[in-house]
Amino acid sequence: MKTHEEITQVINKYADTVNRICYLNMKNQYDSEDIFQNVFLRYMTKAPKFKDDNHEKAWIIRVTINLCKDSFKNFFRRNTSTLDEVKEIASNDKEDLSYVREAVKKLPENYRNVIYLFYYEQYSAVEISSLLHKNVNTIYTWLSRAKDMLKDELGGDILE
Amino acid sequence: MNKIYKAFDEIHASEDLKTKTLNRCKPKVRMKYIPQLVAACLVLFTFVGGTGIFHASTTEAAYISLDVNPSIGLSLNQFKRVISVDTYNDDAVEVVEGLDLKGKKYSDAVDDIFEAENLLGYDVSAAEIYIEGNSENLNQEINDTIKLQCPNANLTCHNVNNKEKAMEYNISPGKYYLIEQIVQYGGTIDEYVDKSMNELKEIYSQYTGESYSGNHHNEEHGNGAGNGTGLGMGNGTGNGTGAGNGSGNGAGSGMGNGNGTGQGSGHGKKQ
Repeated sequence: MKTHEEITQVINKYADTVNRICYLNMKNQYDSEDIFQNVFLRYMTKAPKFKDDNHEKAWIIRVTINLCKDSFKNFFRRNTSTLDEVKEIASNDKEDLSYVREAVKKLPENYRNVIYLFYYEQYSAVEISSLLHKNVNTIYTWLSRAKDMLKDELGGDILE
Repeated sequence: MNKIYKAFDEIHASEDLKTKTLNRCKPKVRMKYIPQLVAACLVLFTFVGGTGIFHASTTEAAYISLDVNPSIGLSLNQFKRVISVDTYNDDAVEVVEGLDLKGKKYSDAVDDIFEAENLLGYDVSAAEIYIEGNSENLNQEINDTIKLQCPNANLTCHNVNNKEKAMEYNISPGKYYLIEQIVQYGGTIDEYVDKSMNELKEIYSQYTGESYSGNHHNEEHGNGAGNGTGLGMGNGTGNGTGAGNGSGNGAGSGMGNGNGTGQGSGHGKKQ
């Protein structure tokens, strides 16, 4: 069991990462917040000893993705329609990139997670394969197909 | 920097969400753990209670030694059941062999032992039974029960701890107690340790001029059956009645010419 101080520290450190993955995978804000809280509850009760920060971050990401997947086993969540764009976005003077987020969200579940991990978290395909417990060739395939789908949707310059 | 990075970099967790999460993660006893807590308490009580019962069932609360010539000791727990059997001579080993005494109620165990001794030709009516319990009530209860089982036996009850001293000589507490009585008149314990109960009783009689009777020596209380010397009324055939003499009051029958030895049973009083 982690102490309150450790939890506070971890929430501050990984809140954005967890929130992004929840946003990517969940269809509404209520479910997204629910998963968000469950990730840290699980950290408090079940987190193992970590070798280093990278190990800890990988654990947080994997647990978040798994909890999101598990939540879709619930019939009601599976059938709830998309509600919203997150509130914490964009001041008006920035370019509106919501269409990019929407395009990524439309990708099949495995594709959107590898795109996020590859382009945002800057993990290599090998690292993603170990994080998601998948064959590295599978990751390459998913990445390649996801990129093609995004290019079709958003145009060629989206990944540059 | 690609647009995907930029697009996701705009997403942040609100402070409100962080606070809510932090509050949910506060360590507290939640309702869902109450069944586990109750279960844990039950396990604890069972363990503590179980230990108590285990202690009561394995700790010696009383010791009975039975000396005919086979010299046997029964260790009893708080529930008056046999927890161990000690044999102090070869005859005792022979008697106990084949008997399953452990776990039996002491009265059944005594019955079994006397029955086996009878079969082997020992005169159990001359048994010296020595009881050493951790409370007077327990002593009394065991004494009364055994007295009913073998009214002619010589019972002594003690609250003093003779067992440990007897163990040093590897003899029964009953025998040790008799030797203690003898050494008051002469000799040392070592001299008498190897003698049989009958021999010791004879030596005691020589010193004191009276037969050995536990009734004479009870230190705490002495309800018991006693051998008394009696005056016989001769009728030519040698049968007579005798009145118990000594601490035991009893009616007995004697053989002899006017003077006979009578055996009597009765309640003795504390000397």
